[in-house]
Amino acid sequence: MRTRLPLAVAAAVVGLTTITVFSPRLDAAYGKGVTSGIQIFGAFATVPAVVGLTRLHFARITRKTPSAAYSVILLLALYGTVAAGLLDGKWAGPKFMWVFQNVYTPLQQSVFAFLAFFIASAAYRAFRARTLEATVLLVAAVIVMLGNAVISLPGPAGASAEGWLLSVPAMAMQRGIGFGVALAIVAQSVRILMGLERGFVGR
Amino acid sequence: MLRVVGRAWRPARQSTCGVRIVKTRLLLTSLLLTPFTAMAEDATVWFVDGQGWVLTGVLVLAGLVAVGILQGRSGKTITPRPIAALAAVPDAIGRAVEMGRPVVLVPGTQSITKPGTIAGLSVLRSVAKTCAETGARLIVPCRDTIVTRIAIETVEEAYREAGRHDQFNPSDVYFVSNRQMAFTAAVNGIMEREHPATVFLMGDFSAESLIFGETGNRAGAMMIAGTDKETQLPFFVTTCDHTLLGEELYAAGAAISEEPQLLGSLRGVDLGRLAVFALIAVGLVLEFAGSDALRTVLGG
Repeated sequence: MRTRLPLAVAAAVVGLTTITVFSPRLDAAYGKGVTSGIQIFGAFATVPAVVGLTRLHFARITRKTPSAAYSVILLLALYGTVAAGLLDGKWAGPKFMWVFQNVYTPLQQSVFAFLAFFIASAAYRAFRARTLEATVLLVAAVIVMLGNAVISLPGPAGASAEGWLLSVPAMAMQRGIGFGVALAIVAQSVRILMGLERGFVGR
Repeated sequence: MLRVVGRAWRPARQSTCGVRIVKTRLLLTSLLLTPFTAMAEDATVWFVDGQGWVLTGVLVLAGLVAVGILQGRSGKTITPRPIAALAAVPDAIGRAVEMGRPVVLVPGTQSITKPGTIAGLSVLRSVAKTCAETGARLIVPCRDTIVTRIAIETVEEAYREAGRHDQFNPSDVYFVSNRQMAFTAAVNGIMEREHPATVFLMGDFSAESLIFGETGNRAGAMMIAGTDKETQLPFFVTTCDHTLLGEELYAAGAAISEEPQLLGSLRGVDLGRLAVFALIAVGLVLEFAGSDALRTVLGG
């Protein structure tokens, strides 16, 4: 029962969602309901998730593991933010938003800024011309970078070289991968409808 | 019981039981009627014009997949296409056992509504079972609360199937944060502190894919990734040792499980691919011949 009921519900939702793609009336009637239902389930699932997180880090603190200091910071940040929200007594109040704008947002941007450095290091590794494929990648990347920054080389049929690279070979590969993914998603949906796909049930 | 008088619902009897029945039925009726009321207010048409061929295509492809599944069910031997990245999975977990370091698997960073997340969880099941059989420690940080719950159940079930339920540690499968960069920072921290021998990145990823790939490389981990996002694939191909490209992520769970029906669905996908290829070929021939018949029919 613990497996069959979720599979049956999932099959029903897959069927309904597929139909709503083609019917605005049914989409208006049920599409938003499905989305709201997922949000409600997510809200319920937050409670055991936060409890589990608290237990995990509390255990690390009491066992005095090497990462205990990080666990203290995490729990202080977690419950401090909750306290700020509760003290405000309303959605997006001043205390909560102060924490969000002055603590969370700068930290998030700092992590995001790693991307600039990681792109450079990944590019260095990828562009080492050790094989034919890597050499082709290097040449294509140099053409696209030059075209977007300094000088645009002429390409086939009067287009720029970087424009042709992006809109013909790169686009063809993206479309090919897109076709494959679309077919695989149809197959996954059929497996869910037939009760064969159980990855989302957990058993 | 209820009976209709004019346009109003009235109870047929007034006993306590009857009132309860009336209340229940009114509730059920209102629940069923509410969506139809919404239909009348918000939407005008039942079906979108020009979507007929899309619906036909979906039904044909779904039919081909169903045929493949039925072939598998009937006992026909189906050999899946070899996927290079999957062949590396046992070696990657064996590496973790030999080095005495953990395996980290991130089942995507999106919600359970994304097909890629479900595919990632299918891979998690197989990886967890192999880890349970070999004794490798498996760490699964999650970004979504529902995915966390499912991941805990999946890993626990895999350990139970392997007969090693006593070795399952629920503290190793946990929710971290639902904010993108907070989750990214936490997973980076896990890689830096735990020094995993192997990192699996399986599912739907966004901008964090390159950060995960590079951090895993710095930590000296063997990286196996898979995603259906074509915008993130270059980052995984660049930074990881093995990559499941697009549809291979969806095929991975079925291919590892070796269940005939699931393998049959992969055969159905191959048949669908042939059908799409044939349609493209016909379209090319017609276009070069100066005919736009296919485009006109399909509404392109």
